[in-house]
Amino acid sequence: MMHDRSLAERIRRESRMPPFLSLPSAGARNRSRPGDWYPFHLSINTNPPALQEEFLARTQEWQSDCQFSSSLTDVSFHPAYQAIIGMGPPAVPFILRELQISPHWWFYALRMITQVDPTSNEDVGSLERLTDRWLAWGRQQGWLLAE
Amino acid sequence: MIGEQAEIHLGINRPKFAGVSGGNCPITSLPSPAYNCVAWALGFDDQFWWPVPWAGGGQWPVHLARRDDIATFVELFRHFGFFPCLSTRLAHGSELIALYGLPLNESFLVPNLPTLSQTDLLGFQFRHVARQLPSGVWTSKLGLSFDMEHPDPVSLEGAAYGRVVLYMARART
Repeated sequence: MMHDRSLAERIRRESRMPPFLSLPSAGARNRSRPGDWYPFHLSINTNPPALQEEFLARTQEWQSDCQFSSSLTDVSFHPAYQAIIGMGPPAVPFILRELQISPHWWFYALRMITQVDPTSNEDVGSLERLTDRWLAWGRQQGWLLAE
Repeated sequence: MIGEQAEIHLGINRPKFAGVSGGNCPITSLPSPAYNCVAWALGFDDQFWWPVPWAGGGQWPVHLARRDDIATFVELFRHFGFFPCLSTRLAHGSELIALYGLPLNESFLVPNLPTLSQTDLLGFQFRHVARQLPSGVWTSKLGLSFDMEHPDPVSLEGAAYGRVVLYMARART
């Protein structure tokens, strides 16, 4: 009950989406070019608030279930985490924002969804360095505001 | 949160940690996903160790298999100077760790600790490792959450981490 209430509050609080959370406009989607990391014109879900609600609910379920596990296998194959991967590219800005607020093991999901990997061997195992690499990628792609 | 009893912060997972009770398991850190029990047992609090091969996964020595059975984790801790032992008591100048696991096969007949073979170790999925402090108290990092102290390894046995499968020791540096 408490979880539901805090989730609802969070959705209400974040429903005024900051600019960097907005999905690209229809015009931008239609202008996608070969070589762009994701062809926006293929996007199916065009309702970010509903998407955000689902993302936050799945995130809460995932983090609650996995908080006492040391296994990245458990973490990456949890049904809620897999469901977020299944949301596809529209989930990426939500993941990047979550990563910015509270670093967590989102890297497998980002790798699976985007099919890119901005990290290097030196970053392996370091939550801080992996987060920095992915946030830099997010800024480069225009998903996050440049610092 | 630090200094509070772990049992009040286990939430819906509390039934899986039946041994964490009695007011002798204080929390010693804030929750952090930056390191796990394996890193904590090795003395790190800024690395995550796990044998997954994909991008952004955990630290793992390149020469070791990327499996999550106890036998593979025994090799990891051997790599850091630990060797299997039978004693659960802290010998002067030594550092003791306890490896926890769940049988991979429900019907697996769990042998007694002293008679565990390499094949037996392959039959356990690694779930946790705890480290003994010089004071004799044990310390554990609970997954992506907090560190806590516990009076003995048995306190953390249960549905979440299974049972202690093996003890290992090395000279304390």
